[in-house]
Amino acid sequence: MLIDTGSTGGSTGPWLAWSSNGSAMKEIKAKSWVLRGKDTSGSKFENNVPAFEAGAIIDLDSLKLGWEREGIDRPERRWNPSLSQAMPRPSDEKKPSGGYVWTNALSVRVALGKGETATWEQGQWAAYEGFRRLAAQINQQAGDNPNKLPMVKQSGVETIKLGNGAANVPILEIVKWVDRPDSLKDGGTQIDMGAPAPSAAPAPAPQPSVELDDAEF
Amino acid sequence: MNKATDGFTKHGIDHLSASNINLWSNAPDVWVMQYLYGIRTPMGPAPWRGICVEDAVVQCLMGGKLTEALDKAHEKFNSRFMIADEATSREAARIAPMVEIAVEELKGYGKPEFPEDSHQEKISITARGEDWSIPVIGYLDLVFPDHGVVIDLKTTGRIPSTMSPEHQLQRAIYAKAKGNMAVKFLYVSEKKASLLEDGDPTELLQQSKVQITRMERFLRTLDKDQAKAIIPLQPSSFYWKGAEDLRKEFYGM
Repeated sequence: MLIDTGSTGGSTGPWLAWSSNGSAMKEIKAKSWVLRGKDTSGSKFENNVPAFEAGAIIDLDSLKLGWEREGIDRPERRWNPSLSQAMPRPSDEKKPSGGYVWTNALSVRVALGKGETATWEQGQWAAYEGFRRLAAQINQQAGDNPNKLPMVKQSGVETIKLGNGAANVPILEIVKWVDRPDSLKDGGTQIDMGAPAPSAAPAPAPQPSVELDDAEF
Repeated sequence: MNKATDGFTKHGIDHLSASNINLWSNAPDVWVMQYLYGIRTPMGPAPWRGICVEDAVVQCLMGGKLTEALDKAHEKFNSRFMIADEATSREAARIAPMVEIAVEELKGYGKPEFPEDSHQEKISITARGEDWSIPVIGYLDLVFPDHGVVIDLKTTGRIPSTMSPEHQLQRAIYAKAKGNMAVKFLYVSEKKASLLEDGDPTELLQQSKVQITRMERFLRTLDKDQAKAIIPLQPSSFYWKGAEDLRKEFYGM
């Protein structure tokens, strides 16, 4: 039995994440889903879970999109004000590897079955790409399924070569649209995004140098 | 006072743009947050739709197929607004008619020219004061050298009869930078298009020089925390739309 155990940046645990390439150190398999949190005895856990294998229900009303960057203790996230107001990338700063420091992130509540819920919250490219593809299906079908939530299954993984490696994208498909389960109802495991943690004001964004100079006024 | 202590240098601002100057003039509280603290405001579906339309128009003018250009434009739009709501659906539906009308309007000009290393030509002019100077830069949408014309694409819900003062300043900067080329703005809605070229560039640049001079003095006088502490707030300003939480977090109201 899992319990919610407080907060990482405002959302409610436990937290679900897609592991594209795995972690030998944490004994996490590649191309798998990972659930982390604390159990009833207060001990931290981080385990592979079937997640979308048998179907999981996604609470679209809890969906947040935004940006994430690595932090010292945990990722720093900045969420868009709404689904129709998108924040620009907080800065165009890049890592030594060439990737952007700030990456697209999502947070959404998921009913995993047997009354258990988790927050899929992640800023990883492969996870976001998997959700982006799922979103296209949601947009096509949502109009015919008012007040319902999609039950989603994973049908496979697509490996995509990137500049400095490869990413494994989970292929998620809508199986059917269902009524909101009790576990995702108010008073059950409602997401509490809270206010973003106060942070120091960022420095002005670096501005490119200007070389052209062909007129004055 | 030497150049090292002018307001722009003091705050690490090494160039301006039409949008920067317009924001300073219209919403200095937003300007302080954005340009002194690097906190940007969210983008709604309408301006993002404009960017997607522009990409598709360029693709078509360069010989691409309309259907492929539209697919790509929708994919780009959906990448930012993944789950559709009423506002995003409305803007997404505008992409195709706007692209078709713009391409029809522009196809007579032939293929636009672009720099080898960029999808837009960068221009720069310099605003110079008594003891300061600052480049004012911009990026040209479509340059047709054979016709001696630069065209900037503006998608809109309703075609204006006269260009807004903000767009007039943008046009003035482009016109000054491009010398003997005509600079026109093509306004495109779902139903029609209109080519406009309003405002006297010389007069507009003189007016903007006043604003830039005041900006430089403001920056020279204050550090960013002082600017944040005293700048008048306009919570009802259009520029805060969608960024209300950001405003409350940054300014406390």
